[in-house]
Amino acid sequence: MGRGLSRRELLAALGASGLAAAGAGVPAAALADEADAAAPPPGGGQFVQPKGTPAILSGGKVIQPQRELPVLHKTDVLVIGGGPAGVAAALAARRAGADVTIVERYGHFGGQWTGGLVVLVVGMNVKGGRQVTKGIGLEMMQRLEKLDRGIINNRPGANPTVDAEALKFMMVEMIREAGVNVFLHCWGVDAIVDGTTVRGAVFESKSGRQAILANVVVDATGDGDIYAAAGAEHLHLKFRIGLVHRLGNLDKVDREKAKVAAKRPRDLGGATPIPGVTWVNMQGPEADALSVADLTRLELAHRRFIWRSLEEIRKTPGYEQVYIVETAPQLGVRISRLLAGVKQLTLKAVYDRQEFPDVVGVGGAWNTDNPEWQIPYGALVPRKIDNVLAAGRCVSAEAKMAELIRVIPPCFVTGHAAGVAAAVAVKDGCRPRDVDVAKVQKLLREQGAYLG
Amino acid sequence: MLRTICRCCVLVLGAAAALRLAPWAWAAMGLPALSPFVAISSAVAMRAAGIGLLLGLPALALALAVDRGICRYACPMGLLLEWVSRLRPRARPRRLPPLGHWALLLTLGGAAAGYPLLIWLDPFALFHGFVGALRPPVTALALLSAVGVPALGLFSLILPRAWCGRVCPLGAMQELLTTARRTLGSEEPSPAPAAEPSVLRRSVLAMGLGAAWAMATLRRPRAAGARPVRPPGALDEARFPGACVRCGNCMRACPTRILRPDTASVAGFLAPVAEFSGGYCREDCAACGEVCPSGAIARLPIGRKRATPMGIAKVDMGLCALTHGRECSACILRCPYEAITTAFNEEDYTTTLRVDAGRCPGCGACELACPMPIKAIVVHPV
Repeated sequence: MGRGLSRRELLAALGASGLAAAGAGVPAAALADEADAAAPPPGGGQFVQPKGTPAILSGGKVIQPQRELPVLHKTDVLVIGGGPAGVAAALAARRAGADVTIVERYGHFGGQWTGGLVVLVVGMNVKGGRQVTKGIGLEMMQRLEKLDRGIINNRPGANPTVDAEALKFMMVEMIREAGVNVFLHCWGVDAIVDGTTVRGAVFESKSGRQAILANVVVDATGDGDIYAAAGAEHLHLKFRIGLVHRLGNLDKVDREKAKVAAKRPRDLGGATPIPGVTWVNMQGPEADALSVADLTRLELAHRRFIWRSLEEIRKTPGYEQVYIVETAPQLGVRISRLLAGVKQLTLKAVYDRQEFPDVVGVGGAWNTDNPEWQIPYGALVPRKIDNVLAAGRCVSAEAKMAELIRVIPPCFVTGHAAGVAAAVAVKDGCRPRDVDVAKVQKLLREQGAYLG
Repeated sequence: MLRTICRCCVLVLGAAAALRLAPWAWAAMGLPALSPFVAISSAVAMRAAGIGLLLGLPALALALAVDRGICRYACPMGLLLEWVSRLRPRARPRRLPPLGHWALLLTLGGAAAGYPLLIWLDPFALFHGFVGALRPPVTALALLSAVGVPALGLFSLILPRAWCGRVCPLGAMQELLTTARRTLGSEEPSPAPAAEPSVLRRSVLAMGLGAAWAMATLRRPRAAGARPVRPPGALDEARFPGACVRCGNCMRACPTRILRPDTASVAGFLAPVAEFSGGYCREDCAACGEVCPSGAIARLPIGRKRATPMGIAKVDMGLCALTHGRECSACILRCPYEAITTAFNEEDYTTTLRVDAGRCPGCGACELACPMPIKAIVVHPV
């Protein structure tokens, strides 16, 4: 804890917001370079002579020259991806005493929960309406409850809907309070390995390609980008990809006109915490979320469809005032990679209520239609690659588990477990696959997690 | 005295089988399987002489050896009705026409045409259905299969001893056997040769009527929606209501309790229908066929049972959660045969559920799983 406290004190002394974002993350070397540059030109700005090593076209092939990458940062636990799993992992590892750094590709936290506008949280409850998602996930719900128009339907047995903006704010608050180092606008693109052991990850950002070294890496990218880059075996799935949008002015619908109209709009979406605003889901076709061609094609097609359906809505008498608040910044990727881990989640185990000695979390049901199911620690650990743990939708599971594992509550749970396990591995100086699972379970329970 | 002891023994053993107290699975078929009336009628109707027919042989032999041997030494129903008749000792037995002969011949004639019309009048089956229905859990619907014995009890109060002598088709069968034995067995001319042409004429007439009735029933067009979903391996809907003896075995053997007595149709009254509000037909179970004494539900090995459709799931996308912008895959996840897939139309952005008819045996797991208030996926009869 000593390191974390001193870091927090340091940030406070610098008058920083407490977020180790952008400015705080700039390495000292870069600052020195800027100081050496020539006198600033009149009118402001700065002349720069880039010293890059661009790719070379050689004999019809594009060659990336070998080069040394600047090390941006060193940390105990590096969490890649700032969605529900990544944020839960970062908070859990930090609370367990590790020095933690979280890296996020967009400018905010929440992943699909905010950027994908998947604002409905399904899977917190099981048969009988009992809530099984506790720990950090429950804490987030409780904090949203305290925010004005942060969440609706937040009661046992129900599926709550959150406001994405309230959520973005709340997650930053939690990360800031915990004292986690943050790098935003950083896209984790490669693993740094030493044999079969992961030692950190490489990021692409406006600062170029840089490295962060870490004792343990938590892959919360959703797509398993980092474990895949490190060479961990996995399942590659095609799955439905949609695009969510929000509609506004639904409280300004002319009910009298709508009543006599011949037809009703096809889908006006589900209620959100903001009056008059709904969120509209989209199934979309099965496609490869790891193919930029598929992603591009769908992004273009989906936006076209959303606008067309808005026009249809506006043509319906009474609905002329409806407008699109926003389309989701992120395409709705549901599943892409599933780790082939030490243990694998199976649908049969869910239905058979299989219990695992290394249980680190419990999953729920969509419509309280199945019992709780245990998630073993082995589902987060790759079979051969060391020092990387999977968290979120890309953990080890069979294809049939995709529907159950991909929703937000299991992401909290696997994130929470991965964070605690990573911190224990760092503290005990062992590989994550060798951690004392009893210790992890004890810490998880102390942090409020439900393990069945 | 010996007769009463014998019949008491059969009653106790038969009741034990109906209550499934015996450790052997085959014992659950119970007394109806031993009835030659059931055995012969269903063998003729199904054009198959299998184990079912063999099981009927001992009682047949008994009936051939002794006049009304089954009534005297084996029938628990007769014993029960005897006790009922004693409640009105002074009532005079009334002469009825030989209804049992007609029932027997109609059934055999019908069986020749594929539909054993009145097989469910078998006294063993009626007794077995009554006792079996008392096996817990006792429900109102289960008790419906028990109506046979009380009904006959009431009948015997009004007309003492009339059932056994004049109405029971199994009794009539034994009388026919006795006549046959006397006619063919002895070289001497028959004691009443004058009666023979009329008996023969009546028999031919009754069997012809039965065949005609059966064929009329089999040919009658049915509205598709009116047909219920029957147990897996059941005969086709035209023949099933006739081949089922209403013993209730299948309903009690079903571990998920999806089989219930049919109360909606007249022809199939009290025959089993599958209903998926509380369970589905398990992929690892073929119990109903194993305990069916009449062969109305085929005895299928588990592999063939899985490939034998009892129905097919059909989707109404207008009711499906996917049409209403919701995420749902309940039916897909619960389908044990992986028969359901989604198809997305990139033109109009609609999603359709598709059921692979080659894989779907109509087990109802999807219907059970569907979370919509009005089920979007429902098993229809094949």
